Amino acid sequence: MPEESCIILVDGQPVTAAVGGSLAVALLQGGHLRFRESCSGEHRAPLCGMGTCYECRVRVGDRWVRACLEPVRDKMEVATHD
Amino acid sequence: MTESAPIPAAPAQVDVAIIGAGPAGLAAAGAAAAHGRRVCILDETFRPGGQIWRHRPGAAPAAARRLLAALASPQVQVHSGVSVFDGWRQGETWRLAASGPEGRLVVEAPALVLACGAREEFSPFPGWTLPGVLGAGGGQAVLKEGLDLQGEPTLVAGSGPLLLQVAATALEHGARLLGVLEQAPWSRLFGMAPVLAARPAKALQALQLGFALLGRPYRPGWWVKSASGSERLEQVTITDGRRERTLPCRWLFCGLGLVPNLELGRHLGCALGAEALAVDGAQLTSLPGVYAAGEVCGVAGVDAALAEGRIAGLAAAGAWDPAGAEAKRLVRARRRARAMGRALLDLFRPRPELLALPGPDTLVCRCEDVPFSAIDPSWGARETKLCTRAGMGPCQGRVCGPILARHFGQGQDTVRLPLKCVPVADLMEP
Repeated sequence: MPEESCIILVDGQPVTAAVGGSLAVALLQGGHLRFRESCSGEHRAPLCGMGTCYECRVRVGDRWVRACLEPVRDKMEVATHD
Repeated sequence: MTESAPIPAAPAQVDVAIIGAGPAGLAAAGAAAAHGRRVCILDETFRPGGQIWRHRPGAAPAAARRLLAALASPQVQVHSGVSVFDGWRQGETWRLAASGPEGRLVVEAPALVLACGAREEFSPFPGWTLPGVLGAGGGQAVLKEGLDLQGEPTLVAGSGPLLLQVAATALEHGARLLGVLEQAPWSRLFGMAPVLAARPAKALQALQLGFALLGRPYRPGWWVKSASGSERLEQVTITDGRRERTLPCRWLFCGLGLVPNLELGRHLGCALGAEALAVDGAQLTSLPGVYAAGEVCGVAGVDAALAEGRIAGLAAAGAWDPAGAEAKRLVRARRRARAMGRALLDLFRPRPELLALPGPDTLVCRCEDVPFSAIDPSWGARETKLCTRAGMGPCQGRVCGPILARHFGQGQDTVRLPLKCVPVADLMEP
């Protein structure tokens, strides 16, 4: 069963992603490896992949989410870097 | 008053509330629902199955599909994508508060099954915070969710049987696999032989994984010394303690094993055994109506989780007959799986050299960017928090707690509410 793909906007840039798949994977596959900046300015990306470490947190609309626990929806607007 | 106040959403009332939709939680749900109980499952991931059965829709193995099919029963409610952040005794029942895409959710049940699973334990080295460095389980998770590595150089490292599975998955997903580094030495891995001989199905699984990796270097007694890159992982230095190699590398999947998720059980007040929740033969904790199953009772893998989940589900439904034929089979399965789990934990125990890897600037707490040099070895967990903020970020010490325990012998600080970072609006009763 082929998966339906969609376009999401990551910091305004279009990224192709699988509907219902993990947002963290969509970002990684799209080459976005700065999910957030740490308090000393380091780039951070997923570590645990299962909702524990909070390193993959991004903003979707007005909500903060852990990208690894967030399913992709069509036209989702994602802001990285806290 | 011109408008009536919003009516508080009444708690959802069920017979059994289960925290976690991995093998233990699903087995508990199936058992309780088959005995006519109303069941509610609360799970953090957006799709049931837990970490081991994290598969794209339709791709789950047969054992998983059978248990997942039970979720279609009208007796079972599944709340995916919700984080349980509080739990308390209310009269004769238990209440859980959770936060999810639809906001606050409260569930009330006379029986709880804690099937919260385990998380990965990390062993820091210089560069472990770079993007492109994930846990071994973390790598497995993003790969199973469809990440294509597109021929990029990839290294799997750390310890435990999971490494072979991660390597096999990485190959399926287009990795140029540089190898698998197992920190345990060959001499200890030979100790696997009697363990596997006692479990032919596991031995077959190991052989199959071995074949999938044929021709790729599997190096016991090697580990990652450091990782570097400007904005992401670019190279790794590996060592066996005598030799060193530096390799270009884009993805490193590195984990040291698992630690149980005890926060909810500890908050409720469940008694602890050896580093996990203590349970009796019916998986009952020290609290009335609170059962626990799977990794929260000590890391032992999927077979223990399935047996214990079923026992807990039957017991929570009042249908556990320890003298019955099924009970004998389940108790035997639990005993065998637990014995194997203990043997593996010993075989894959971390070597002391790993503790010497972090430099002064290596971070111990990634949430608050606290370096190893900031930790006074005489401190306990509370002083470390107060003086450095280590453990006070969003992960609430889930990552750095086990590291501080391993490196400095620190105990666990008390569990604080909320158990997970959730929006303030969801914390408050409506």
